[in-house]
Amino acid sequence: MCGQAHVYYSGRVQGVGFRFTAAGIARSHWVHGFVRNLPDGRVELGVEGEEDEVRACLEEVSRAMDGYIRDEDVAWSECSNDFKDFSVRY
Amino acid sequence: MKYAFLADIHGNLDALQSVIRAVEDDGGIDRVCCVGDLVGYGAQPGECVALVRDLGWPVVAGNHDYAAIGNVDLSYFNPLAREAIEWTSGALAEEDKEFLGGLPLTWEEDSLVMVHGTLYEPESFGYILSELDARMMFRLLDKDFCFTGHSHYPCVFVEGKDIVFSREPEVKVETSERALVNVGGVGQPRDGDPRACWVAYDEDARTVAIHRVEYDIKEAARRIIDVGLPEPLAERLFMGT
Repeated sequence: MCGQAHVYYSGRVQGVGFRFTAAGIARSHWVHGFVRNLPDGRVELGVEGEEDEVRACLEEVSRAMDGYIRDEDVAWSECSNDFKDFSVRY
Repeated sequence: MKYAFLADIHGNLDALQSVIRAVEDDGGIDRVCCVGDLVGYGAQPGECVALVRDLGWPVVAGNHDYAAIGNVDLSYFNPLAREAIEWTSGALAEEDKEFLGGLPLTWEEDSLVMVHGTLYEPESFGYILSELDARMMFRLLDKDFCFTGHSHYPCVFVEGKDIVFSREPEVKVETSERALVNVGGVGQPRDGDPRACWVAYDEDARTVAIHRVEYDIKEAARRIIDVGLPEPLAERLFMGT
């Protein structure tokens, strides 16, 4: 089943290669979406695809950036099919 | 493939994080590589090592990295550098020292090699400051591109019919040519421009682009003073020397 997750990461998540790492992980999974820095210091990650694949991607991002994340705020919704690929936004 | 090369971070976490942001903002970088000297001079060596280690970049050792773990004779370091390395060595955790100790002197992929100093006796960390030095490098180079650090002075030597020196922001290397690229300094630039420096290499287009990034120099300088490192190490950040 297709699902879309929106995650807001807080902690020491900017200037630490978070977007680069997340993009690399996302592109190794069958998912589309984006990652971007927010002005308030958080990072926003939007991921869409088969729900299992999205969950696997998010788990891998959390593991990879474990020492930098203080909090993750996750919201799930239906697929929007708005994303053609995975991109780093700014 | 498109690469980002950066070198000579020298414990300057403020500069490193600004460069990382800029590399991410570029949007087209596939791989980031570090040409050595993660530590020495700056106030946050452990944080810089941890970040680079966590990001899993290919990294080669610089002379300050080896000096911080006792692998290099300090007698040829100037007094300021020696004081900074001795402080750095005390500030690093064992796992950071193990990471530095495990760094190779060179690293290569299909079209390129990176080394902090020179391909001839890389463990001696020589400088490439002249066309003659570059000529010796090209003799030993069996790739089309070599990326170096050490001098904190971004520039490109292109070997064609002759060797041409360039400080242009972007250089195109023809298929009949080869290039020796100094990627400048992230944490302590020495070309008169205090902004952190990194280089983008586009393997398909055979172009090398020098990028400069502003960062909070005041904060980096304040940190140096706060930990008790010599004041000139803070002052020079503002001048890019």
